[in-house]
Amino acid sequence: MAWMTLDTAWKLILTTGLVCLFLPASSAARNQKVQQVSLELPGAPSLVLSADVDQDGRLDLAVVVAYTEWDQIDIQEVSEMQGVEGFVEVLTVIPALTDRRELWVFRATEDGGYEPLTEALPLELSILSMAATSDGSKIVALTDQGVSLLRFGDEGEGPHLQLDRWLEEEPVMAGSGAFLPNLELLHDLDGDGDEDLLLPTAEGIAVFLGPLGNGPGDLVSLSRLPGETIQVHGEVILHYPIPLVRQVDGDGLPDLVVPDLKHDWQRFYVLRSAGAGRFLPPLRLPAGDALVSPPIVYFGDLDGDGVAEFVTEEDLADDDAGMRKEIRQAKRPPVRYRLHRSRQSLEMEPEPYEEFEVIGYAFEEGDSEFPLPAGFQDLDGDGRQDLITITLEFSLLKALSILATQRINIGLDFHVWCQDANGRFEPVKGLDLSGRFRLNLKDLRIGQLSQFAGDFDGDGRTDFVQIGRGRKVTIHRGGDGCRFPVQPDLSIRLLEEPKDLSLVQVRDLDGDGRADLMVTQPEVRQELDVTPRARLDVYLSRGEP
Amino acid sequence: MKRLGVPQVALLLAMWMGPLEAGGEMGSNAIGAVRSSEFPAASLIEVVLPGPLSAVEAFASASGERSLILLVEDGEGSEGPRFIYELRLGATVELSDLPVVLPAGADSLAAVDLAGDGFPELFVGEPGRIFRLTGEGRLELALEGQRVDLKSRARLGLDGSTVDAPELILVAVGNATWYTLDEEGGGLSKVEEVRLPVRAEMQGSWLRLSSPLVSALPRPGLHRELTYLVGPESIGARRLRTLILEPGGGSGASFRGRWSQLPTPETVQESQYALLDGEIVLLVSTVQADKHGIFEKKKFRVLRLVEDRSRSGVAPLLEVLTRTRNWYPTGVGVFDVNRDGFDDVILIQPKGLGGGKLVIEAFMGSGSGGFDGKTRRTDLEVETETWSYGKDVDLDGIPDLVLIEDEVLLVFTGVADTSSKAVLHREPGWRVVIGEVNDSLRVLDVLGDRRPEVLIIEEKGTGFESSTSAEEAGTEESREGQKEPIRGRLGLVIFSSPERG
Repeated sequence: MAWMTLDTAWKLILTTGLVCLFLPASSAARNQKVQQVSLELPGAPSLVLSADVDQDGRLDLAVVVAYTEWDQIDIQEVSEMQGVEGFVEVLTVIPALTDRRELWVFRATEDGGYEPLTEALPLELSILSMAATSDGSKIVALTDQGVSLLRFGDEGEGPHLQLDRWLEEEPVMAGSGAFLPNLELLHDLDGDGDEDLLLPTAEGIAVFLGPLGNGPGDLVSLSRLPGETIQVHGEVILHYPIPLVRQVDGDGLPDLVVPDLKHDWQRFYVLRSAGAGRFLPPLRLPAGDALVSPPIVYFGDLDGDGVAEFVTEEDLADDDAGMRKEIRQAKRPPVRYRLHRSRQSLEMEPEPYEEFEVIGYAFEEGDSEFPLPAGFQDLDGDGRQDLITITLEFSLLKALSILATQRINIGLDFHVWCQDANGRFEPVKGLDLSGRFRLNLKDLRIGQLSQFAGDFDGDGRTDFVQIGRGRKVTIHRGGDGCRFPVQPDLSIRLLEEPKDLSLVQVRDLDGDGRADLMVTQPEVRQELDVTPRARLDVYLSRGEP
Repeated sequence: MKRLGVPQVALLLAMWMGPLEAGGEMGSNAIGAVRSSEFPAASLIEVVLPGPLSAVEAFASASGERSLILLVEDGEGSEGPRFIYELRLGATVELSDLPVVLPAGADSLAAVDLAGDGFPELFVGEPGRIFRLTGEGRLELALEGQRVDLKSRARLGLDGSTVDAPELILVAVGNATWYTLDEEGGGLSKVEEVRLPVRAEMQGSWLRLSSPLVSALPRPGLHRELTYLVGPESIGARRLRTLILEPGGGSGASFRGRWSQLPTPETVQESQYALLDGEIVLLVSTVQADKHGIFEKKKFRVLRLVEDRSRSGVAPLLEVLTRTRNWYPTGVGVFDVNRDGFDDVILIQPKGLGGGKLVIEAFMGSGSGGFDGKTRRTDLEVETETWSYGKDVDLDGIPDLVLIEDEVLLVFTGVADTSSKAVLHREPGWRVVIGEVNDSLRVLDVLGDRRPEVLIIEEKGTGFESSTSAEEAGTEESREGQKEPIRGRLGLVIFSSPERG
């Protein structure tokens, strides 16, 4: 079988049963409800995009799936056979493991569900990444040759998906055959409201201004980013920087920020925007050779004025503590943060303007494959960053068992420090955001931990998603002062408990301004090297904010 | 700054429970001084360098004089100047500083006989550029390219040094390029370029792109002709893919895939290609893939490389559960131990939770890559993770084992008696006190007399102290609290007699 037909796919929509779950847990959320849809896939999704593929005004789901299955290779050979005059055609059929990559598009229906738009589009290994514009009007595909745009056509051979080549510019990872789902290549770099393309090439980061797909593609700048390194350790390794796009100098235009491979945020580079998608030469921060101590862990706009602040982190743990205390400190590390303003040159002011102590982890290592649902984030919608930290609860035995099983059931508690109008960070008391979470350390790259990832009621504040308690997921609406009620505002009973936390994602899938929940449920693997099928359970927020 | 996640916490806890590493103590010594020590049937030449030792290459000049070329960094910091030293190994042994101004990023050396005249050309590399060091002591630019790196040159032979290479092969992410000597200018000319597999993944804000290095094995009976291999690449939990270079006959060379299959889901920890009865095989040590056993013992597999259109590969020729815990290295060799005309595989296995014993076990081949289930074995009461097996130190045609235990270099010679159940003699044939070594040893024929010597390389330390230098090293009190400069150290052990010491 090559790929699934539309007819088969229809049958595979397991519970296309659109289940509306009304589970208001408090009067505040009386109008909140959830619509559930399940989608059957030949493997776990590598990427889910929301975009209006069929141009009917509703956001559809475009799902990239990579999987391995048994197929067959047919080899036709011409040979002589004893007793047969002349040549004989021989067809040899060889079972073979085949790697497939497909794009499945599920059209949003009027009743709020999804149905297959057409047959899945086979993706060649030359497709390296895909992304949707923020308004969902376009899906772009990064390929070995450049950039293509997804198009749904209904002419000629009937409804079909295809990739139309737009731009020819070979990316640096061409030929890898890897699919990199979260490259984050689309940004409005010139402030005109259209998303522009940031393309990593062997010569540097290329900027093509939007609107994407219009005209031949306008290369406006090519910047060689600092810090690229080549290492030889049993293989040849090239580390190529992908810049963070942040406004750091207050001119209203996004700048490029590149943390150092060796020093992370202790030494980094800023390429300030020169307008129109162009950038000034890299500026190394801090400028001196000596590293700042305590180390810088964050550089970004904390107070909402468009100018970045520096944050240093001092470890307050007692190095000479006994083992018992060290374990306690490993679970609840005491830390002091100091906030420093930037000068006009973006150099760090030596004296901090704010200093406070917290408990817990907030920042992971730069190349960490274990993204923490912590750090700075605007929780209460006031334009100022607040701080989330995590403390751990585990036993020594459990910690050691991670090494054997690569899975851990661990207690996590979240702590919040809310920033006020004066730039002070105050702890938010009376929260109960703890839970036990099963983590698969091998698969953490698949997704993010999603506790503070969405606004379910569309009020501009981040809500807290409690997803560490079996099939029950509760939503706690964010309030003023970064407060989250102990009692949930909405409870959702999942079809099945998530196998691990990284398989849960929170995003606004249908573009209604309210976050939705997406849970990947892989089936049990039946055969080694053959990818198990998976079900994508989507829980769409419904009702008035 | 906190750099701790759940896995890191677990690892930390595991480390707390592990044994503490014994602290070492280095003394200072006269920089550049060459000292020679005599041992029964061996001599040790030692030199302390003024900075970290980046690279060492054995060299033979057109006049036939043998030497070691050393690339040394400034001892004050990694961004300081670099120097080239030559340790001449003539009638007198002396170290001289070559009057060459090196580029600031010089980090690699290569001595390769590209002209095929029996004398190697010497190249110095820095990221992006390769220079040729001429006989007149000049440095000439031989190759320049955005991602050229001399450190990426192909691994040759089992131990990286045994094959006479007709070309310089450099690997970049995405391709391997063959270079020969440009007859006119002395630079490097591109002969062939082939695409290599590229692995791409995101690591934080970094795109990590990697390509495997190229290995080469000699083609039996063919002078200076090599088979080039790339891999192994894990495809899923059980399949391994190797690419073998297929000559293109004018249309450009390409790699062709060969497949091997592991018996269970496993992760490869160590791998090596070897010739077994004339067929290229893949030797791997593995651990289970789906979970980590804290005290798990490694598995050893001898795998065929088959052109399998189903891409599933075939089962191993040999499957062994080793005696080695997953944190220790293993070693391998291929040799016809019992002289029955069929190659045997020798596996070197540290044994015990804390080491303390080395098991050398030979698995008897039955021809065509098969094994008859018989083994021979020698257990050595030594604690080491630094060894080299395969070179013939006593010139009897049987591979020997060179290892370092504590501060002593030991050579265990191979058993010549074909009916013996042992692989090695249990008493060392040579014993040389070399002082503390943290880095590596290489066994190769530096002097060109067919008998291998041992290079002891200490890239970074604060000097060295051997049995003869301990008194010179100053008191512990005088060194306390002082920041010692970083110095490299080189030791060369020359064996002078085939007699057992």
